[in-house]
Amino acid sequence: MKQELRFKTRYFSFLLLALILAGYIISMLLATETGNVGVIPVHGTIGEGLSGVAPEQVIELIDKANENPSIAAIVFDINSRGGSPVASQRIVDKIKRINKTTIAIIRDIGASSGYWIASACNHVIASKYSITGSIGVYGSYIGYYGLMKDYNVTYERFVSGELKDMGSPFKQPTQVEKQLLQSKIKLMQGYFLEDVKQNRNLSEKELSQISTGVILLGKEAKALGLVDEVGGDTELEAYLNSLNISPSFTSYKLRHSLIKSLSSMLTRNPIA
Amino acid sequence: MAKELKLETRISNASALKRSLAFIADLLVLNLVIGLPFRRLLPKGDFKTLKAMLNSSPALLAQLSRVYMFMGLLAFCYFTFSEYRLGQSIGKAMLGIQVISNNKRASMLQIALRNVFLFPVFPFVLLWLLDPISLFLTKRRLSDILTNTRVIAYETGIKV
Repeated sequence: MKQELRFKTRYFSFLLLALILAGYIISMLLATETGNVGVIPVHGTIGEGLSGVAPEQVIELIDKANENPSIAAIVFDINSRGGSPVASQRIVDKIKRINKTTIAIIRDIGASSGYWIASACNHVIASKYSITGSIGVYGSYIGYYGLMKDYNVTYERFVSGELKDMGSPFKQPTQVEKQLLQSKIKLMQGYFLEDVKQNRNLSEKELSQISTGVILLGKEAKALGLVDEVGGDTELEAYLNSLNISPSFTSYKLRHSLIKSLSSMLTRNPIA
Repeated sequence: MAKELKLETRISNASALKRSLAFIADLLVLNLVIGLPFRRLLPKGDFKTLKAMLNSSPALLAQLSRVYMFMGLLAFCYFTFSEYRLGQSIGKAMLGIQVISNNKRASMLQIALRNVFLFPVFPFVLLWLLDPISLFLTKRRLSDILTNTRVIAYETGIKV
């Protein structure tokens, strides 16, 4: 009798453990296939670097969510201070081709090209504490020519054209070079502003107010038309409900290698 | 002179109450074992919310059906493997009832067939209605009758 009871206990324990394990394996395999609102994270510097948001990965997730027929809307969860304009443009172009409702929710920071990505979405939500704006371009480098001069190190220059080594940190830039670099920055800013203007349907007056590259808090951004709504998850759900989408969220996750995870720990966003 | 007392075990069809209580106990076990891993995949909210969600994304119904099918499959495995090997699930063991066929252990096929009602697909879903009706009328589920199985209760008493 005692032996029979022991056998039953062991059998049931084994069966239940096997079922729990099978349940977890199956639920993991089905994980990305349920829910009607896909959430794609854009966290970190946008670019191809180790600690950045690789555009290929974001594009892959967008395709996945866009091709999933049960997904009615895609939410971009943004916490980024910007990054590479080329990488950002790839993501922006992809968002514009999505044939589903797109919503950006800006967390702590959604500035520069982090905001550019948000502006490509149909609806932008930001907290009143979120840092956004900073629409513009900057370029900088450290010049070593002063240090080299102190240590009597010379820069031997052989160039095919006068501007070929423009931007070299080993020589002081000439006035012409400075003007040229500045003009390229202005040109890029023009493209950036034009795209944001189109995305958000901004007036020239509104555009002129943000063209300084000023950072804005969520509420200020709303006043300037950069954000549609001030709020967070509650406002996101309310907006989805207004579109007759009763949301069940599905998270699409970026793959992170060990090196990338360690690197992102070192370059974590200091603004909290 | 004192009369000798003997223990007597009587076997009878398990009552509908005992079977229902055993099933409820099994559902509680399954809620923990199967419900837990699948919880994050299931939509939260009441029936109205679920209806609104499915209306906004009809394709979601297919995805959810798949989840429910797998949950049904695991519940089916739980009942089939425990009833085939031991003649009882945890709920049945707690209530002291057991599945048999012609006074012997039921075969795997019989056990599997009597548990097909766990798959949420037509025509098995009809058994969700027919089984309880049959149980309360005849003390046997329709699935029991169709698979020639019985759920019996052991009652041990003192024979004078």
